[in-house]
Amino acid sequence: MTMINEISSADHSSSAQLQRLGAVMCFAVAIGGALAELLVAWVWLSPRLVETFVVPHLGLSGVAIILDWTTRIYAFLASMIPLGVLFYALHQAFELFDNYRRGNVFTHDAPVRLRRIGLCMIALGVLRPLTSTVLGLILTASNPEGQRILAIGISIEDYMIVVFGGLVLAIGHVLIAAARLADEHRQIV
Amino acid sequence: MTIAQYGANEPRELQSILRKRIGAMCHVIRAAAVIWFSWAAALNISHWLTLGAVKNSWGRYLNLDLSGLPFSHHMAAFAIILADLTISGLVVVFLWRLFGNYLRGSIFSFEAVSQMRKLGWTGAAAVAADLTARPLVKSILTAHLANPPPFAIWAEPNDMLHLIMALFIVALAHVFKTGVEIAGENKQFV
Repeated sequence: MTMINEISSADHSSSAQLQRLGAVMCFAVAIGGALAELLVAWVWLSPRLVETFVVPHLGLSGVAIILDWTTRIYAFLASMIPLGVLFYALHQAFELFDNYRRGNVFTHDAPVRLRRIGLCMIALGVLRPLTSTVLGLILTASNPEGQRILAIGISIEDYMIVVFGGLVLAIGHVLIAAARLADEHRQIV
Repeated sequence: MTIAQYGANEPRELQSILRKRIGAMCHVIRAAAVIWFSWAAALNISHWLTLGAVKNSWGRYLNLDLSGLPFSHHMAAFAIILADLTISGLVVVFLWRLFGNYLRGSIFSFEAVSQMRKLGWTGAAAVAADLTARPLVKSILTAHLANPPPFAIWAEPNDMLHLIMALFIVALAHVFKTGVEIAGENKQFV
């Protein structure tokens, strides 16, 4: 009986720690998503911020660009494509940690969510350079012919995001394979 | 048998089947990480070995004339970049070891969890090293100027993304550790 009590209390202590971590991560994910959206909207609302942060990043320093309302709305919508994928990944992360917050440690749901997060990060790594190309086109679309910029480039940052996505996807896949194998083994036994 | 119990039992036959199922993926992710580090190292080293390229790129970045940059300062800044790269290399080492554990069929084990935690914290350390290296390099590259810019640490959006990615792995490692503990306790109880 003493052993059962000891095991139960250790079990509860681990679970309680995990529930706290789940709550913290849910909060961090929600705040992170809201901040990302606000930051993107704030940057595209101000032509000065676009010139300071976006234009050098796109390699358009010294190039004539139009920053009227229409251009910035189109650019904001283009920025929302990778951001939408990021939101989906954050939503999956929120659901994942919300399960832990509620004390559900061993669910078949977690590896599936990990795989979705991994796939989203891979998609994000691919969409980032494509979005930069589209943004370059949008910002220089009103320029006379010959001064419109179409620049395509893959950075090591984008590749790193893809590798991270692959890492999370692989962890999710390993868990799914292990669970499936364990189920098959149980049926055989 | 549940996922948790699988880690506790791990019969050799099951390990072998699991290895066949996930082996290719583990090798791909290991190779991708090595390619990432090789790419980053080759880019940085080739750039920093050319004094003219450093003067141009950092001069443009800082909006300063660095044409009089002394060789010793260039080499000191290069040493910091190499130290920063070494920490990034450690990330690849821990990722390699983590997937090595998976290839051995050790998934819900304290060893695998430890490698995952080290991977996450090393990732966070790599972000911290980046944040520290950037102003240090800036200070060294501008030390010879009559009016060098003040020392300041600054973060870029990518730093935040990398930090979130690293902390996500740390959080996952914590979840897995709890899973291993609970699985171990349940096994004892059974």
